[in-house]
Amino acid sequence: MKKVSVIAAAVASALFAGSVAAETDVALDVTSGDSAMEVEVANPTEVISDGWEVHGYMSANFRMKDGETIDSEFGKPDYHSAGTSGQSTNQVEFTIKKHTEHNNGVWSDFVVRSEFGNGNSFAYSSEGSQKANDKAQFEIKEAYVELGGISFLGDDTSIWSGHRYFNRSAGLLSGEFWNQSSGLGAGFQTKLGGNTAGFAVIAADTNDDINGGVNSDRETNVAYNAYYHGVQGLGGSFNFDVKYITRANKTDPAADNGVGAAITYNRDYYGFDGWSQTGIAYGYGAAANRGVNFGAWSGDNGFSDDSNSIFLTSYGVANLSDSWQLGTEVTAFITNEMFGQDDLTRILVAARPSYKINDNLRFELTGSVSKETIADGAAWGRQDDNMYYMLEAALPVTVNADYFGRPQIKPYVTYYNTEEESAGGIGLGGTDGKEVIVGIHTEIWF
Amino acid sequence: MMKNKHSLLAVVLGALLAGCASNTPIEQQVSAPTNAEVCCNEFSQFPFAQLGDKEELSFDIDKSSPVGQFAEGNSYFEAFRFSERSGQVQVTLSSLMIDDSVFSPQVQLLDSNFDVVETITLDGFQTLTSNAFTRTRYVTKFKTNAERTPYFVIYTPADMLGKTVKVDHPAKVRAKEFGEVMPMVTDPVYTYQLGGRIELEVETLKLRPFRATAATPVVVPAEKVVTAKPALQVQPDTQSYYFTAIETAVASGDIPKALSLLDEAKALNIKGAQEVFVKAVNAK
Repeated sequence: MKKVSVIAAAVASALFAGSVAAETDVALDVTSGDSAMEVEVANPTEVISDGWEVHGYMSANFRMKDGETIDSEFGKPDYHSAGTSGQSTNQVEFTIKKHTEHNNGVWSDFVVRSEFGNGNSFAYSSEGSQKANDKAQFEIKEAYVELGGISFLGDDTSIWSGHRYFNRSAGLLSGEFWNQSSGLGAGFQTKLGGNTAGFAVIAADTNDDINGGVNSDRETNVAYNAYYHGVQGLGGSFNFDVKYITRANKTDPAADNGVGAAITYNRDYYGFDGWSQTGIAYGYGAAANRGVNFGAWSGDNGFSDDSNSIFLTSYGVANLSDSWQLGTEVTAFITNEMFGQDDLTRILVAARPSYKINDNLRFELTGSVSKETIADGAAWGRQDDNMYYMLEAALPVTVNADYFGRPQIKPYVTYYNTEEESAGGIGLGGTDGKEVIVGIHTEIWF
Repeated sequence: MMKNKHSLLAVVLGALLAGCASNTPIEQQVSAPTNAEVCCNEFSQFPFAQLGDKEELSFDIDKSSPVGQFAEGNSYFEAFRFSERSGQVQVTLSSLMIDDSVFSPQVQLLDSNFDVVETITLDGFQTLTSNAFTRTRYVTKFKTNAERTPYFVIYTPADMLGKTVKVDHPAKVRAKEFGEVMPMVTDPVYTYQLGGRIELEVETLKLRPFRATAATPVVVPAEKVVTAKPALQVQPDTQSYYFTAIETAVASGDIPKALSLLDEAKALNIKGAQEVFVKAVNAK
């Protein structure tokens, strides 16, 4: 047998091993963590994550009064009550989101929010098509693209454009949006001093414009938003919003323009476990509708150059124990002029204790007291001084379905009470101001 | 209408009563497997499942999985070996949250000597909330070179068992995303348990080139050298004996004996034996 030198064999194997070690290092890209290890392939536009997400929501409120289905929201949009009084009987929403990330840190979002039946309050049946009118059809509510992480703009900067319901806040129990810029627009957002800062321009045509045809002079409302969010302080964080709102081709007495501003304070539930949001907003002229609530309704003919308003709200949920939660809301809206009324004041105080009986059943009690003071109550079918009361008991039944979202069926009974002369304020005009509504509200989120 | 109200009230109260009956709690599996169940002493003894170039697997880690001993304690695990055709691979690993429980995943990448090269802890995973087609899950995505780290193990650190994670209720996710009214809901809570459902996706980005026998440098075989034996050096006594014996043999006229002694001396490399013989013969 040929004897091979041991030394020669050792040299050969060392050479072989050396060629492996000389190869490029392991490339471990953990897309989620903060650290990004060296990437073997230096292709910056390579897509590292891409996907579609489909989310949805459905709401159907089955309720009757005196044997008929009803449209009334019992004053909820006006801060007169806080019950389960949504109109929709077959509201279905699908949201599709496409999120893509590239190797060089660039990301993009495409969001489409489609909805059918928001505000349809009829009980439909099985013959042919549902109705002949053109209200609440299948609609695209939001459709926008957002791009971020582009190198020449900065890693923390993003730009967006399209139809968007931008930066919205709504009361917990009143369900009313008091801060939003909803319309067609564009904006950019970045980080300044560690906090989110941005600027957006958003336009919204009035309902009359939209129904009036493409070529008429449009009374387009435009809001120029500047915002600075997330400033830490006082145990929570502060958001600052300023909006300059203008209106084209305005018809008297609507305001030409206006400025609104708001400060929002987010923290735990006033020192206890939970969350709370407190806002104070001021606006005049076209921004008199709660200062920072911009949309098709801004600069409505209801607000003139002389209108101004103050809006205060604070709401939140306290986690009292594993089984008990308490939701509360206090809201006040004070304006000197609105839709022909001078000196309107609306104050709402509402609370909702919620008890978790077991994983599938909760018991919720909601109570609200509301006061409305206006100069000429008779013009609106009520008194100058009005008090509205509401009490509701509900039993939400839910299934912890991890996969297809969480469905919930909630039977409820609501009792509304006001003086007969104030009944017009909560949609009970012509009655004695007392009413019991029984219904079942169904929702699912996924 | 009154009738409706009464019957609804009855239903509501009945549901309340029924609801008061507490659900039997589902037994939770949160104690780590014992040492007696450990299958193997080292990584090299682990059962590795062979993967292909492109895989989409969905499997359970449960009490029928093998048990290994890890730094944090014992754990049920699943171990895999990348395809031999894979060079650079992209791995997407998800641990699904189902029915109040989830497997808290930890991944170790091993090289061909079964040494740990990289550990991906729970911090390296993102929590993805559910949508129409997927469950809530932990997910991570990483790239690795299958030649350098051909093996990987998925297990759970024993010190995580029994801990919980709270994930936003889908109604809250929607509210946060779209600025909708924040709902009053209780967020689902998932407990880290012994096992769970894992989804594994492997995609080969670059194939591994097949290395034929390496072009080894030409090895010159060592020649068989016949080395001369080192010369023998006789003792001085031996030398003098042979000189004397040769002289005596020549003096006594025994030339054959003298010649034989001379041969022996030459064989023993005794120098000068030839001269002694010649001298002795000449002296006669």
